[in-house]
Formats: sequence, structure tokens, C-alpha cells
Amino acid sequence: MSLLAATGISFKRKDQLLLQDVELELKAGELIGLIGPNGAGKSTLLKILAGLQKPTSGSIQFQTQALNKLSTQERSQKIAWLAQGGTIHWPLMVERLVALGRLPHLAAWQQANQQDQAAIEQAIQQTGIEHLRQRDATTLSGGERTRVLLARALAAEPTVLLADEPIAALDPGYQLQTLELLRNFAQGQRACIVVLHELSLAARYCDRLYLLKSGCIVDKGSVAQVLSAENLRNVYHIECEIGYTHIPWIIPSRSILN
Amino acid sequence: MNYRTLLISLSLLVFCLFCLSLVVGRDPLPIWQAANEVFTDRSSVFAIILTEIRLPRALIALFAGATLGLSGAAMQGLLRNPLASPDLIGSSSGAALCAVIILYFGWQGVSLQMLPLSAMLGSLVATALVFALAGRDASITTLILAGVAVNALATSAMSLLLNLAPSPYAMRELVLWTMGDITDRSMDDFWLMLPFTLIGWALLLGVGKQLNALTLGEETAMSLGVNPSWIRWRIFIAIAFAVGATVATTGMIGFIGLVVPHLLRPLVKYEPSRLLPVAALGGAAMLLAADIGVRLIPTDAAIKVGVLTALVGAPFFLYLILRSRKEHL
Repeated sequence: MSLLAATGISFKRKDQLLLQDVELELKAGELIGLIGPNGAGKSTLLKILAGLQKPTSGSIQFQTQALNKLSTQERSQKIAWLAQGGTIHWPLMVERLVALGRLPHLAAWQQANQQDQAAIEQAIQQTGIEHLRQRDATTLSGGERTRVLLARALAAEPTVLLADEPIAALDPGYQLQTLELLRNFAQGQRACIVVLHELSLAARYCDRLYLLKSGCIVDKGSVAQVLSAENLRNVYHIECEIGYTHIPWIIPSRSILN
Repeated sequence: MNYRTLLISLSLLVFCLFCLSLVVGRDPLPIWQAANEVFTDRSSVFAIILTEIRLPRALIALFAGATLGLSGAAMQGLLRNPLASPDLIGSSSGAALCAVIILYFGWQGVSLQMLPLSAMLGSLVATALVFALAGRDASITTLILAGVAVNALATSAMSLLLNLAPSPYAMRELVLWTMGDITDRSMDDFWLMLPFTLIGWALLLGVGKQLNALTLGEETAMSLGVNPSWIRWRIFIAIAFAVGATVATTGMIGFIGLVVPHLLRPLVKYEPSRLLPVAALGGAAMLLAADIGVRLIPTDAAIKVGVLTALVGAPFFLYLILRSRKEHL
């Protein structure tokens, strides 16, 4: 069953075409990786899929409805978006920050009820941040912050999770933990799209990959198909060693940019 | 201290200061006798002092202080900047400029509502001008710079009017008014500011959750169902109503909107929604206390309450700058 489908998405800013005729489909239970070099349009595409930016042309379907026909509240209940970097302006307590995830489910003057509290608690437990509840969120390490912000997204109990480089600047342990969480999220009727630069981890965790370059989808499909030496040479301008033991691995060996 | 205890403590403090404001003066008022005479002999001196001098003054201090504290907390939450205040985006100076224009031309006699409505219009126009200058999707820095420019424009226009004042007496009146003062105000002044103030409060108190979401940045807030540009307009219109009405009644009283939210924020664990009612109570307490203070300071000419809040607020502002410099070292 298709949860999210983008058809003919183009996006222009100040005469610069950032996305061109992008087609993408996310099915229930899938974890899709968006890969490509810096400036390829991955983050822009993710924002458009989250309904945060309007495409210049094209349409997005959420389940059986057009995304732009959903109310803001419905959209934010069903699609969670995890920002790159994750800004936290005030030193909120971690528990209160995670609770912000329930905002789409609450009316203006409504307080969180038992169901909301249960969702918050579940998100805290899933991400293993019980010990951080009372901590000031601005004093957390990169890995802790990522898990807290992920808990905020999970607390909304969304159907689709869109995560923009959630493992950037994390050590290998936190990278694996975070991707395990996304993998576990993308089960049953839920699905996730994640922007990644770590190709071996993309190969290890994602069901399918979309490879972008200069706003266009260069290739899409299974890990083996997309992460070919030829694709990596054309898109990233690198020579790689690609191997498959029980999991795929990619080791960039040489830049051929010049 | 938990949130409920904090709210109750501040409410009690405001209540005590309000009662004290009714009693304290150059000549202390026997409050029980005065209160009794309000019901038995309204023409008695004590009853007149209570109902026509002390009560409007205390009520205006209470509502004006709460407006300034609440508006400051909302602005700081919106701009995610602890140095933001209604003064910053031109709301106060726009209101003051229009009020000075009305006073300069002597139009306040045309209608009772002339001064407050003009001040509100001035506040709204100044705020809209800041927005127009900054652009639709302005960054916070651009917005603050636009606010500085509009403030400078309004202040220089006020200076020009003061410079051209027809008589030294008129000039003195204008200068004293821009200092911020709540003496010689009547219940009519209070009733006039009340509805606009309450509209502003209602609009501001309803944006707490959205301000919480903005803690994570505008795009994440949008993904949580918040419309940042709608929230901005709502806050600016609310501030135009409430601060415009306040400035029209009291003149320019600075620093409460800056200092009070900043002082109280750690007590609500930095949560913008919880800060709103707390800052309103804190603002009311600060202005009531300052107004009691100016009555007790033994000077020949009465010190204006805006001067006292500035004398306390300006050093605090310097402290904030020094602390922020230290944090960035």
C-alpha cells in the first residue's frame, strides 16, 4: 500500500531549478534512503514531502488523498519531519521537549490527556532517554540530542517519518542506534524516508534507495542496483570498493573530481 | 518551586502590592475607613481619595504592568531572543509618536477615545512597517534591524515635535508624558484602556503552545501544525491593542517588557507558554512596586514611574549584555 507518492515534483527558487520532475513512492513498512551529493535537493524534497514547502509543479498523494487537501493538523498528525541539525532555542527540559510532539493532537487550550502521556512515555522508552527526562535539552551531546528530537517526532505517532540527516556528526555507535530506531519504526502501516550520506549504512538499513543529483533522480531501486560503481562515479565522482559479505559495504577509495 | 506554587505566590504578591498601592502615599490613607465611607458617604475626602485617585492609579499600574510583562514574554518567545520586547519592534515608539502628535496639535479634546485609538493605530502602523521593511520571510536579525530603524524614525519624529513645541509649557508636558507616568489618571482612563487591553491579552494568552513549538525553529513548528506568519501577526496585533492602549494611558514605560520575562524564565524552566501568565503577574508586580516606590522617594518634584523603571532596567540590560558576551567567549 502506497503511503506517500510524489508525481512530477519540480521546485524553483529565484530562477534556479532545485528539483526537476521527481517521482517517488513510499510504501507501508518501507525505509527509503535518499542519497546524493551536497546540494542535490534531498532536504528540499523532504520538506516538500512534509508539506512544509509548496512545489512549483507536481503533486503529492498521502494514502488516498492529495497532501494539500489535508488540513494542517491532519498533515502534522500523520507526517513527522525531523530537521537537519535540530535547533533548540530555549533550554527546555527533555520531557517537555518530547511532549511538543503531541501538539498536532491538542486543541489550543487542551491539556495532554492519558493517551498523550502514554505516547510521550512510549517515545521516551523507544529511544532510551529515560535517564535524560529532567535534563536541559541544550546541554545534551549530539547523540543524546538526536535521540531526544527523534522521540519528539515519534511522540506524534505519525504514519510517515521524514528524517533529514539524523546521523550526521554522530559516532558509529549512535549512528547504528538511530538507524535501528528508524528501522523499527518503519514496520506495519508506518514508513520512513531518511536522508543519508553514509552509503554503507544506507545499504545496511534501507529497503530501497533514491539517488539524486542536481535535483533529478538519477537512479532508484534496490541497494544493489543503486549503489553501483558506475552510479557512484557519475554522481559522487569517486572510485569505490563495493563488497557484499552478509551486509553490503562501500569504501570510497579515490576522488576523480578533477 | 512548581508552576502552580509560582502562580499562587505571584498572585499573592500582586494582591499585596495592589492593596499597598491603595494605602501608600505622601499622606497614608486609612484604608478601612475609606472603604467604609465609599459605601456610606461617597462625598467624604477619604472615599474620594480612594475611588478617584488611588484606585484608578493602582488599577492602571496593575493592567499596564501585566500588559508590558505579557507582551515582552510573547515577543521573546516569538523571536526566540531574550533581548526582545515591544519596544524592539517599534510598537511602543509608534504608539508614543501618535500620542505625541495628538497632544502636540491639542486634538485630545476632540474625543475621549482620540488618544488611545491613535496610540493603537501608531503601534499597529509601526509594527506593520517593521514587517514591510523586513519582508515576508524575514529572519529574526532582519526583523530586529527593521525594528531599530522604525524606532529611530519614530524617536526622531518625536524629537522634532518636541523641538517645535509651541511653548515651553507644552514642551514640558510632552517630555513628561514620554517619561511614563500614572499619576492623575481617572477611572475613565482605566475603563478606556480596559477593553483593548483585554482583547490583547486574550490574543496573547492563546499562543502559548505555538510559542513552545517555535522553540524548535520555524520549520519544525510548521511540521507540528503551527503557522508562524499567522502567529506573528496575531502577536503583533495583540501588542498593538494592549501596548497601544497602555502607552496612551501611561506614556512610555520601558524595561518591564524586557526585564520581567527574563528574570522569571528560569522559574518556569524556560517554557514560553508557562512564562506568559507568570510574566503578566511579574510585570504587574513590578509596575505596582515602582509606582509605590516613586511615592515614597522624598523628592521635591515627583519622580515619574517610567524614570524609575528605566533606572532599574537599564543597568539590568547592561548586565544581560555583559553576561551574553561572557557566554560567547
